[in-house]
Amino acid sequence: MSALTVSLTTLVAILVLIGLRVPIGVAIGGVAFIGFWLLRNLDVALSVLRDTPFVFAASWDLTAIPMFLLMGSIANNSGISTSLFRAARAWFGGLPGGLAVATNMACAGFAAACGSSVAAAAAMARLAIPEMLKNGYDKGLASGVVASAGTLAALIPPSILFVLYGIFAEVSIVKLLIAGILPGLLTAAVYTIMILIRCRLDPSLAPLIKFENKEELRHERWASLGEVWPLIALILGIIGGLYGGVVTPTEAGAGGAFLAAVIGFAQRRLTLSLFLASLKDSMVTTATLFFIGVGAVMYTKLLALAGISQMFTDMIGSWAINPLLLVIATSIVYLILGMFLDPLGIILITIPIFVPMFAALNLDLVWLGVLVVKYVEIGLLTPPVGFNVYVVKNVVGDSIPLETIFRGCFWFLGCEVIIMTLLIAFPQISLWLPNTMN
Amino acid sequence: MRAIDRLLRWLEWPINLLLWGGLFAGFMMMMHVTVDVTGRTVFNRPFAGTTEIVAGWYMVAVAFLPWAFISRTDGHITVDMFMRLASPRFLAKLEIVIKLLTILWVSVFSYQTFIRALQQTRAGEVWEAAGGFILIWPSRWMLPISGGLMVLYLILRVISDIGHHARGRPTAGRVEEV
Repeated sequence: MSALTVSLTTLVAILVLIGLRVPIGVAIGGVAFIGFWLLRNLDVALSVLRDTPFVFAASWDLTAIPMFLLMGSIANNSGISTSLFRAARAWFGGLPGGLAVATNMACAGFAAACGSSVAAAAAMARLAIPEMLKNGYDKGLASGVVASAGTLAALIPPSILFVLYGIFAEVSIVKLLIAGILPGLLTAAVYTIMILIRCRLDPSLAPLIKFENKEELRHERWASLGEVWPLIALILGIIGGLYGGVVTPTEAGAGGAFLAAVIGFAQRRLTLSLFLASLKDSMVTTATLFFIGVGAVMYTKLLALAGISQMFTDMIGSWAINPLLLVIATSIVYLILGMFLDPLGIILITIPIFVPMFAALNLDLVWLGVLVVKYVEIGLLTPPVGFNVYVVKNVVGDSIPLETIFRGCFWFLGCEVIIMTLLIAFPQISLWLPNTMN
Repeated sequence: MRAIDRLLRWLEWPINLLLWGGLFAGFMMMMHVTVDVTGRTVFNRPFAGTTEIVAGWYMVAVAFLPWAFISRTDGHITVDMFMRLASPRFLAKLEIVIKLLTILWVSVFSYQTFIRALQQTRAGEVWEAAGGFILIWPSRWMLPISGGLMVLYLILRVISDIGHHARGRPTAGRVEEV
């Protein structure tokens, strides 16, 4: 069986099983197992299953995942998101669409403590949407900004998706995490500009908030910073530590989780039960991910055994493919998959196929990682299955229809066209920071 | 059917025990790594064997011990897209087939990891660390134990679901909390 046949057949089989609601871990693992059986024999398939799970899990690099998740969960449960939104509201609330801008900024700040987009969107939806609706904001704008800005969590470190990508693509995780900073900030900036322009052109979208007492506002601004400075110090410490090579991602995550807990307890916002809830939330999510991960590693090995890397090298050598066309074709595949699949599923299914293809073209795999994570995050906003949209819908209940949230996201998807064009045209946006590292 | 439901309730105890094992490992991972980083950067005295203990013990516990709990809460990641238009009756049957597939997959996983755990136990598997050797073979047993418990739970759930389905009652369904 040729590598192409194996890749296509297994991919279709996985997608069909997932479409039938089979858990992604069972679908991908089962297909990989049968693939080994057919390509070699049952003994080989059994022996891969015997060895892979423990070897995969017992990895120092992977320990960054539970620690990043724990840090985000503690930050969320200790009300850091509330303080961030309060501070952002005080500083940006007076601008056109000020509360939407504040939500966007608070999401960017929260993203630096939390590695999961869905968690960021859920946390911010509870805080920001009621406040925006109370001030007469357009429902599409209010819900769209939360769903969209939530995606910043996957770009700005810590990021679970970058850790996973790094492990499966065998790329430096630290470089990936650092590479996500500028694209994350760029996304936040483009979103902000779009909100300002829209609300300036159509003030009915977001009635201007007037702060009557300027002195009180000034006081509130500085007071709000008093609550968030420990978080800012923590974030700068983590990013600085990673950039300077002082700590590994796991150490940054564990230290970050510990300090976030200390800050939460010191500010009397974190209780023992909230700490245990954070622990449970993050460890169960990790185990859920590993249930898929075991299958994904087997699938990666299967494609390697089928000779997918050689196939792409031969194909690219004989077709003289333009790298840009390949990037665009890959983008289309991700956009389509993003409409239906969960981010982890997309990453774990596609990396074994796309990474050898990009490697054969000598394209930078850190840059590809940024693009992949961006596309996966865009998939959280696209209908019919936009996970962040569903998270927001779950929080707002009947007060905002699903169609309105999707409609609100379309403006942000428009921004994504600009952002993706910039990221593809100027790889330096992603690569400049990691390339300055020693 | 009552006996099955009683067994399912009884299984809560080991399921929660393994979950708490995973949570404890997560907590220890945070503390151990933090102490090691502090020792290394502030006092220039790192803890010997941190990497091996964290990867070989805590990570394995976090990754596998909560599996049965995830099944109990129906927490596996699935895509609920094309089946929305299907009838509830079809979906109930499909749910049983999916559980059977999951049982099959996790059974093979549990048996194979059991064989490997047995081999490594006989060999007395250890990892070399800076300060000596770290015992690893006991950690291998977390995989078949977690997988086995998950299979046991799912088998009972399938029997319970089929029974409830035959009587036209709703199934045991999702349990949210410990």
